[in-house]
Amino acid sequence: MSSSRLTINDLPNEMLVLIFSACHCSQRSPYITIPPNLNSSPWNITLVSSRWRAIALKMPSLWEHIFFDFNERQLPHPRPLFQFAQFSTRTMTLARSVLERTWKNRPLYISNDEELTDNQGALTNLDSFIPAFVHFIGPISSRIRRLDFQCNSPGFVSLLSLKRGSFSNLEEVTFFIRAKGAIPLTHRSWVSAFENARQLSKVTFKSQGVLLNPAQLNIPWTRLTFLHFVYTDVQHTSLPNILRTCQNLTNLRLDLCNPLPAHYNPPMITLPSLISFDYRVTQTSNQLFVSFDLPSIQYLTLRLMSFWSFTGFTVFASRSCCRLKGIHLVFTTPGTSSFYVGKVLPLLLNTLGAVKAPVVDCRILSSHIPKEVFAKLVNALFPSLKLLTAGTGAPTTVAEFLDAVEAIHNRENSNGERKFRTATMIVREEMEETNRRKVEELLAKGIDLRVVPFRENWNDPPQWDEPL
Amino acid sequence: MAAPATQQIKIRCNDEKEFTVDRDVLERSVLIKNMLEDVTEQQDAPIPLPNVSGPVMAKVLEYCTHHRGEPLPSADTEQSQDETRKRTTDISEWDQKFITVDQEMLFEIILAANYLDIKSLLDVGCKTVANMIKGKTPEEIRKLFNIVNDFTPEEEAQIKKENEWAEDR
Repeated sequence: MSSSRLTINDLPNEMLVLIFSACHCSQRSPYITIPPNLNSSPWNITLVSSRWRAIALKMPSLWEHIFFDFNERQLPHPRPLFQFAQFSTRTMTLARSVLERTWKNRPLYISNDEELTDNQGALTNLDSFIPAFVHFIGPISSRIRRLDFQCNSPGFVSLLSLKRGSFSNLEEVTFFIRAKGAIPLTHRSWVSAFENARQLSKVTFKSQGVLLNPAQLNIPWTRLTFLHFVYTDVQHTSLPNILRTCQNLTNLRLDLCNPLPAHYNPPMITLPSLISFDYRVTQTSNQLFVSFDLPSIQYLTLRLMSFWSFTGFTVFASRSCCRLKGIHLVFTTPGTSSFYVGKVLPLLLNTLGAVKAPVVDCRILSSHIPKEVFAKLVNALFPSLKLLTAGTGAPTTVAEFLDAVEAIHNRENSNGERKFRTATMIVREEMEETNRRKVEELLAKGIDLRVVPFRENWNDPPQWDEPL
Repeated sequence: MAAPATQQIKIRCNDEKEFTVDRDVLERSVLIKNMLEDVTEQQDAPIPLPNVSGPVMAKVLEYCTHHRGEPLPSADTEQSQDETRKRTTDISEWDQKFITVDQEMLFEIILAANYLDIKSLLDVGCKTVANMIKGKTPEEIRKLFNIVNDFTPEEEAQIKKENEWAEDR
């Protein structure tokens, strides 16, 4: 190296390319934001010097993930109400110059979020960024591999302007539509753009205030491996037929918020390839939306919101859970949780445990878990258990959990080995002194016991390969 | 040529500073590894490294010694490592302490890692600079690295056009 003082300006272009790539990767998301955030990569890099800008503009990988932030806060202040035209024009002009920085044969990943104040349904199609956005993605739709489409205005009807079969290389799509006024997404043609998406394997629907009818979405359901409905108002008459078509699904989430009709008889559906299932059952339905036969299921999440009926779960247990490795149970029953969990959980665990599933990872989240549940875990269920996670509310539950952990730890298999590895206890409040001493005692015995504070995201889908 | 793991190799830097190092430590450098594989007979003459100074080589050897025995990235794993590198700027605790040096030494290490073809060290160096840039405005970056704003009037005009609404907000 030279004897004069070396600076970043002395690094060759190839080194700056590596540094800029690392800068871009250090962001929480690979998506660049339009309008630009001048503190984040790659926007800040392009404004440092002529050389840095020239290098960054010639790095297509920096510009292939584009997030359109159509949020009201982006609008000039003070602003006339619902004047979107000028902002949309500027946004799309910049988006087109960003597009020129990418290679034409390379995939694109496009995301948007529109959040506008809808004054009691006063928004119209013209008061939306979405038409300009749809106009932008139309010509490049065959390059898009992933599309996350979110809007809260009636602008989503502009999807109708997309050409039939536009997204020929799309692999993943999310629709999050939360327009006010419960506008039903039942128009047949709004979805024709996706009918030739032969590469499509992952689909997520979210909706708020919009009745979604997936039957009108003409996509290759049989090819899907991943299908999530999250807080979705969905037409319950159409969903079972669609699920029956999805014979290649490996990952399913059903989180439906519409009430079922009286005397509803849940249909039985067999999904032979399903490995991971996340099923939320609410008080509004008070019964299962569908019953499942899942011969390959390995990871099961059940979110039971004041749920009392067990017919479907018996089917689960007797036919579906013999390969179960992970089970995640969430109870949200304010006020009556102690009684409720005490009644429901033993029954459910007993039913699931009847098949002697090789569960290694059990997570139970509730404000109170009675002693008898832990006793069942220790004495009867899940002989292969390695990871136990429990949310504990009351100090007595903490004590019971610690007793259970100790008992499981002491359990040995036929070879005299201890299989049990880790216990995680989620606590809401400061622990009592006696419990604190017990924790120390268990740690001293070599038990890998983790005590973590309650987190607001405890209801998120679990990452099964990464224990809490 | 197969060689015992304890074989000692001599290297000479551009300031004539010489180091005698275990072969497996030096072989963290793909450049030196290839050189050694090309040599059919044992040589006593030191390997010349005309692009690296003694103090920088000392730092590089500290890194190589700490990471000796770890698997080198192969052609097969390179792509997945690239993917990993793309998604994270995590640097291990030891590497972080190791790379806590002044800017000049940091850039010297990056250049040396590139020349010697030590991918993991190059990665640590680039991530460290990236972390210094992260979250900073262009002006803060210029100040940090002593860079002059040298945009042409045409570039200034284009930049202004791209960001005009930022001033409106």
